[in-house]
Order: sequence, then C-alpha cells, then structure tokens
Amino acid sequence: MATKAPLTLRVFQLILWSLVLLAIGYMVVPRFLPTPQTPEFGPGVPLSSPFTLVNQNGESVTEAAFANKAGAWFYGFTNCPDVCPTALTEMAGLLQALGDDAAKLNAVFVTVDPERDTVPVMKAYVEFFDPRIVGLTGELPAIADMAKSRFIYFAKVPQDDGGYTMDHSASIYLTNAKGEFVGTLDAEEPLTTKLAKLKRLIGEAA
Amino acid sequence: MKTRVKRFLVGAVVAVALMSPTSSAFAHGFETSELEIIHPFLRATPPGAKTGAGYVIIRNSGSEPDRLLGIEMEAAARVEFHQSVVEEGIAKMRPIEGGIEIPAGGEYRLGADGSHAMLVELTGGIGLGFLVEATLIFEKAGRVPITFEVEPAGATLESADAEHTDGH
Ligand SMILES: [Cu+2]
Repeated sequence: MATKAPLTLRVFQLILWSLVLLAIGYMVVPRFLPTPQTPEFGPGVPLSSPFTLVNQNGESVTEAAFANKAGAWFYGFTNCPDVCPTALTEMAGLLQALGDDAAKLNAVFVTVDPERDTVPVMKAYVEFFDPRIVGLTGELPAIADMAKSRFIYFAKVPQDDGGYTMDHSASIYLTNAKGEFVGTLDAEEPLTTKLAKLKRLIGEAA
Repeated sequence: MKTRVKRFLVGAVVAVALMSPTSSAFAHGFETSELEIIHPFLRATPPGAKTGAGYVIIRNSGSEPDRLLGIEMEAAARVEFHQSVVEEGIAKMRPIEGGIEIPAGGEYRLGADGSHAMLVELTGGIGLGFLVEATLIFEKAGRVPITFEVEPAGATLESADAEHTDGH
C-alpha cells in the first residue's frame, strides 16, 4: 500500500499538471482554429511569394526568375478544352501585338492539375500557343502553396465518366515590376482594352 | 441575338453569292428534312492533347422539337456535352444532362454561353485544317453524318460567324 503524500504536495502536483496541460493546449489548439484573418485581395497586394516549380524545359525555377518585370499570370489545366485555350490564345495574341515589347512581360501559365500536366505535356501545350509563355508545373503541394499565397482558387471535381475536371480562378492576373497585383484581364473585355492594360503595365515597369 | 442571326444570314447569303462554288466556306453545312446543321467545327488541339472541343449551330424548321442525344466520331473515345461557366471569378465545367433540345422553329447554338461538345480521349491530334467525320444522333432525325472543320484553338461561334460572313 502506497503511502499517501501530504495534502499540500498533492495540491501542488495538481497545479503543476494543470499548467502542463494548459501549455500543451496553448500550443496545439490554435492549429485547429481558422487563420486569424485572410488579408484583403486587391491592387497593391504582393503576388511575389516564394515558390519552387518546374518550367516546360524541366528546369527548376523560383519566383526570382520573374522578379523586376511585369507579369500576366494564368492558372488552368491542359485538359480544359474551353476556358484555358481561350485564355492562352488571348495571351499569345497579346504577345504578338506587343511585338518587341513582349520581352518586357512575363507571360506565365501555371497548371493547377500537375498530376496530368507533366513537363512534356506543358511544353507541348504552351509552345502550341506561344513559346514565350512560361509553363509551370511541379509537386501538388508546391502548386497548392503558391496558388494559396497568390489568392488563386482551384479544386478537383470528379466527373460521371470516372475522370475529373478542375475548377479554377478564371482571370489573367497582372502584376507590376514590384510583383504587386494590378488587375485582371477578363474574358469579356475586347482585345484592345487588354492590350492597353498591358502597354500601361510595361510602360510603368520600364 | 435575333439581329445577329439576321446579320449572319444576310452575310451568309452575300458570302455565298460572292464566293466561287468550290471555295465556299459557308457551304459547310448539312441538312435533314427538318434540321440544318451549320458550320460544325472543332478547335485545333496542341500535340498530345487528350481533350478537344466542338461547336455547331443546329436549326430546326420542323414543327416539333428534336433532341441531340450524342455525337460519335473516330477521333475521340467519347463526346460529352458540357457547359463552362464563370461564377464569382471561378471557371467551372459541368455536364449538360439529357442531351440538347433543338426547339421547333428555332435553333441551338452549341458554343454559346460556354456550352460545348467535349471530345474525351482523343485518338489522334486535331490539327488546324483537318476534316473530322462524325455522326450526330438525334432523337427524331436519327443519325446524321457530318464533317467538322478544324479552326484555331481560340475559335468561338462568334469568331467563326465573323470569319464566314466576311467571306474570308
Ligand atoms: Cu468540357
């Protein structure tokens, strides 16, 4: 039979254990709470978060490759027959219209379906539209991190035929040379409006 | 919509009148006793692509609606009807269930409002300028063989209309 510790000691032990539990709770619980507040998205918000992805030539690239230059970023997937070819055709048309000035712009297509959009698939895809477009793919977590930090939504949606499609942010996102969000190019806008936006963007960057 | 269709018709008549019979792009159409299948086209796909998209205008001069139930072609394992929509900035693609109704005395524009025939599991590339044989399957008109022309990857019903009414 164990000897009973004096009452004061038992109270002391109880307090100690309570403190330990509190400390653990303090460390663990916040992880399950929603993040305090997602920052507002709008012009001026930095879209230059770090990433490591792979371009269509199989080279590892980071955000540094796109620094100090205006950018037009589109997030989509190559199995998309409708919205994505339209956006990339537009991007290609705009690069064409910019002529030599196209060199002042990063035109980037980031896949949100890296599972199917491997490096060779991306290469065939972007080069079909315009070889100046950089195609980015990589590991799903890396894509997901980048998308999240840049306010891009995407989700895999199963289809009846056993395949899947992707929901994704539809616009082309424009960034200035500082990597800040400037605005979007929307599908309904006439090409002249889009071109004017891009010219203003690279004019500012120069 | 009405005026555009009218403009399209007028333009088409002018285009057909201006063009020699052999080069008449607008002559690209197919007919049954009730249905007129106007300029079916596919978008050219990048090499190795697994999916593609097709568009067509179907006009019904009959007094009964008909329904496009499906499309068969050797170029793809399956053809599904889908609609792409943008909701609050998010692009989504959802199936159109139960086929596509072609109203009596009216038309259906497959390609308007994000609707498209989605070619799944392409068996080969769909290169610009190719002609792709297919069969449209209607509830009443039955099987109607047609040929899709292949247009640039960004082609839409509108751009195709414009190109064809301008008589190239
Ligand atoms: Cu589709």
